[in-house]
Amino acid sequence: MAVVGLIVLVFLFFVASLAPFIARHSPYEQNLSNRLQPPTSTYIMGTDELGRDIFSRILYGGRVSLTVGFVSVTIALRIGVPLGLMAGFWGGLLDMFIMRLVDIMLCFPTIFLILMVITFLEPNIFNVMFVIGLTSWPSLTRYVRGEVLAVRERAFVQAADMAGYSRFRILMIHILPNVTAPVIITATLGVGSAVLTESVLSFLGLGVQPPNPSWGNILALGREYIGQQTWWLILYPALAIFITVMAFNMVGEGLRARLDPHGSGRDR
Amino acid sequence: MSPLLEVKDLKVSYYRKGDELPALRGISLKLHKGESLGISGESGCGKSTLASAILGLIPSSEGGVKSGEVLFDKKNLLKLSSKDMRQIRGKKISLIMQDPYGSFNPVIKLKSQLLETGLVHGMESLEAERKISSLLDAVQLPQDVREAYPHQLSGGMLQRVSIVAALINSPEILIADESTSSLDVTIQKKIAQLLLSLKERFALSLIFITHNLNLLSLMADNIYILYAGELLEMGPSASLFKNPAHPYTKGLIDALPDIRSPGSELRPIPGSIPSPDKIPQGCVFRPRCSYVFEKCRLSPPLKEGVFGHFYRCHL
Repeated sequence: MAVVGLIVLVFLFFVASLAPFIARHSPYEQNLSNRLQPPTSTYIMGTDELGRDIFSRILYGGRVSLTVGFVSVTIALRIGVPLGLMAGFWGGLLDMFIMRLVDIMLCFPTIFLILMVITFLEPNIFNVMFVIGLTSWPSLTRYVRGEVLAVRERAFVQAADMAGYSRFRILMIHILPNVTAPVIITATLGVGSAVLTESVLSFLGLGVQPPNPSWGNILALGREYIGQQTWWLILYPALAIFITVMAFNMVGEGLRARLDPHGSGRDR
Repeated sequence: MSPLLEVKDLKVSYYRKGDELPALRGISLKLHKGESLGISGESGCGKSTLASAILGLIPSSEGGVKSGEVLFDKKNLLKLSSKDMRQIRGKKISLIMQDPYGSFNPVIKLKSQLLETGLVHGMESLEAERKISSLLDAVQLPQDVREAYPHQLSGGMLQRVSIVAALINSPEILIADESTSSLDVTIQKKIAQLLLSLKERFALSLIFITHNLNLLSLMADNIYILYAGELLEMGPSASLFKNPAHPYTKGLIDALPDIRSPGSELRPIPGSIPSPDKIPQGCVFRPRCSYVFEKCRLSPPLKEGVFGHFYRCHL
């Protein structure tokens, strides 16, 4: 499963980064005489209401989705991992404070929080990445903290203490390398969910703005034609989202089975 | 000659749910330069607590030193700041732990872990490299174990690597806390002999903590027998085994199985060590002692016997 996911991901990266060479039409080029064409050999996924090639728009939209996924997860990592390390390692009041913050963030429905922030800021791809990153760190923090709590009781941490390592050095040298596995797993799954969130936002018109393509806003255009036998407007962007998110989840779960010694993945 | 390390009337307690559980109740010991000192007793007698207390590593969330002094280099280690104490740990006083697999980080190559232990105490990395390679020779390990991860070595090899880690900063005192207990018997003896030879070569002073009396008889110049946080007997190892003065020491020696007379009955000491919240009044060993009499209701003082023994018994 994980291998299938990985192959799909590699394929997606390849296709997205080579979009200009693969696409035969510009994603922006309008051709009103060709509007709402079903898939043909020239337009293999058909055309939309302005006669643009959906295949090209999906290729270019893939660049947006993958970029948003990776950048927002990177932001979440930068926030979530240090907070989790500090909470787990130093404990006490700091732990209390960070974990209550996590609880607050987690009990708030993220999508509404994002919607609220985006309506205050300008809806564009940078704000979308930023906001998704700023709202997806809490689960990472919680996960990292749990791992740190387990690792810091291990004998080699005591051994380092007895050899006169400073606390910070113990944290960086002994704790951090031992929590990378769960971090990688959570991050991989996080990319998938960030791609999904971006699509939702663009679908609602709060993410990537037309005419720039994004899987979400291609889908939004198709929504108006539901029930008029223009299935290609919905099917292809939806498939793109589905396949991408699925691939990230499959890779994430595969990594969990491999890397996480006490995860549930191995039992399956 | 003044001792290198002196512990004076050390009292350590742990706290659990508001109860104070005394783990060490007034322990004193002296370690002279070049001496090899053995500490023994049953599980729970306070051996490892003593080692942690000397290094200032009793976790403050669980307990603390109540009173007493640990004098090293004219300084009371218990009064040092945590920053100054880090300069002692691993640099002046090193410790080898019981479980060689546990004491290394499983995801980092041994080389980096050894190197780091040197760098922590301000060594240059070239100097540390040289020191590691000479110590690997000294513990009779091939140089290429540096490139290994901990799980690739056997327990005996890994314990030698932890000896390298302990010696890299040329400490004055080496504490071996049950360091051979998890190894099999032939390797135990080899590691013990290795420690003795390193002691001569690097002018170390050793504190050897173990419940294995056979091994102590080979290793230690002086032996301290601990029981329920108290010192019951101390003396030079040769005469301690031949002429134990305290009934507990006698019991421990009698309890050793003799492999040369198979079928002979084991003679364990009846009962078990009291838990720290139920330490008996008077002599702590009273409930298990076969020589118990009226006077044992009173706590016996540490008195001097023959052959340089000190023991805590009314007999």
